[in-house]
Amino acid sequence: MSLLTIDSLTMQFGGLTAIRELSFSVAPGEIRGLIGPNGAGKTTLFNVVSGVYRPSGGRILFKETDVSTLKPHQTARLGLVRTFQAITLFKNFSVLKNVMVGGHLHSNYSYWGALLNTGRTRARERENERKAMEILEFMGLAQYRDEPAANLPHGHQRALGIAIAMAAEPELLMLDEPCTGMNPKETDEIVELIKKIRDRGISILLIEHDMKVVMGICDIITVINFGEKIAEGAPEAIRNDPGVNEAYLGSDIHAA
Amino acid sequence: MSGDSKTAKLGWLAALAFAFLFPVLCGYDKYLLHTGITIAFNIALATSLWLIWTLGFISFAHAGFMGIGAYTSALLFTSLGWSPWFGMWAGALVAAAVALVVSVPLMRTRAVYFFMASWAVGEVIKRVFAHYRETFGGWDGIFNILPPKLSLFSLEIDFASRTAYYYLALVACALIVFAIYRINRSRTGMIYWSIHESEILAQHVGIDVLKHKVIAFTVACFFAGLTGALYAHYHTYINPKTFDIWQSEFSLVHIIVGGLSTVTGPVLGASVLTIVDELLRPTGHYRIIFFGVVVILTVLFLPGGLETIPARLRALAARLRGQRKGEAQSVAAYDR
Repeated sequence: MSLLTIDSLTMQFGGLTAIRELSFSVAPGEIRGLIGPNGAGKTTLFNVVSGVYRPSGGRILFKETDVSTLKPHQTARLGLVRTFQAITLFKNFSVLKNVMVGGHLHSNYSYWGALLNTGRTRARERENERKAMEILEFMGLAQYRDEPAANLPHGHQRALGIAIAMAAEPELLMLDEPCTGMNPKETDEIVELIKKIRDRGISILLIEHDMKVVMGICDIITVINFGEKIAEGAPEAIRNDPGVNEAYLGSDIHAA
Repeated sequence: MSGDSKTAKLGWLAALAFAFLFPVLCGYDKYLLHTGITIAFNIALATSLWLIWTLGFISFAHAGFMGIGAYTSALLFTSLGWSPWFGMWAGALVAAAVALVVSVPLMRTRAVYFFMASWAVGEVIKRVFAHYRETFGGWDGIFNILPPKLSLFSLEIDFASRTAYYYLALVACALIVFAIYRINRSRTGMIYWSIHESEILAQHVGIDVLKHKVIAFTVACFFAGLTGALYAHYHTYINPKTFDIWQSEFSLVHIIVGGLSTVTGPVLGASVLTIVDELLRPTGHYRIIFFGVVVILTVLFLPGGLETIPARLRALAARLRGQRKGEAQSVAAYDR
């Protein structure tokens, strides 16, 4: 049984077809790489799957449920959570508060409980804070808990983006270029983290341009170009695929 | 700011105690009591407008919803003889009901489009009052809206007494401010601010952004409606012009000058500016010009508004003592 199934998905914007008849599926516990040249439709795919756009054709199944028409807050509720290519945080919130908002779905929140500030609500919020701290420790951000998110260095801001998504307790975590703009040391840390996240039983769909990262951690890689799938397979097979090399042309995939 | 929540609590208690003793302190002076009542209304209005701001929106329809509360309670009183005690809740509920219906399409707009759409809503509400003469009295408005009476056992309170109405307005204002303070301090407030910070991220962690926007707008308009009803029964006369965009803009100025980040902002802003406005009464038409000057000066010289003054003073004191570190940073945070 697959966790996520993309079934002949098409996404058109007016006359432009960003994704054409794309099909693939992600198995539970898998780290799936999604690569392709700039403009191939990778981020568009994330936007369609998470519910920002409604697909023009085809279906998206998550845990056997059709999620094609759901909105982002509904897909998140089902366990489908994504991060963003551009750093997207609650910038003026403390690091801890960022993660506490991330965990909103699992906070046992009710309007009246919050308004009346009952003992139960306060106990729940302490529990929510504890859960958020656990995630911060897991992500190696615990010492920044009271720091405004905007003050963190770039690499930590990216990690915080993932921490927020983790707080939403995903079953499938979709990471959109988590290593962009990172130095080699930071990149290694994120790679280790992604492995640790998978070891927690969370499947991962990863968009990344750093071929060393993609080749190093993905179980299977799906390559798309102009919105169509051009190859799929284990890293080794993708590395030697002539079609993929051609699609990348200038950027030599062997360099990695 | 969070480090000295005890001081903040004391400050609130002191302000409340002063407000409570104010009639005695001013020797039951009718004009000063009137000013106090006006401050209470302005605080309630500014604070409920601020609640909408916590999600990142400024509504120019706010006075319109105050008007709906006022007209509802007034009409229930003049044509059906309802007691204002029920009328004011009816006014608040009708304002909230209209807000609920209007906010579903309204809250789908963003930024400057929201300003324009909300401005249109406010204008439509006013024009409806003006247009339907038979029902709402047209531009002439509604007269003879009497204040309520209260009989508790042998005690009879007629709120036609200005002192009595002062306390009624004070209690209502304090309850509204307290409710909004509570909302803002809870997880609800955290969600509202998260929508303010990044709507898209909030959505992607499972927050139903539209639902929260609609609820917040509705709750804020409930309070505005309640304030409007109290306004109507105090002034005993209302007309559409009372609730036009100027009233919304005054509230906006109150929260900008007071400060936008905590509930202290609208309370301080509405209090100080209402007093200043009364002091400027002799200048007649120039009052409005002065308002513009105050906003510009605040934005230029006191970014963050009046609420940042304590932190600024502490920073200044710290600098005088030569230990500039921590406090200076907390002010730098406001200056961003």
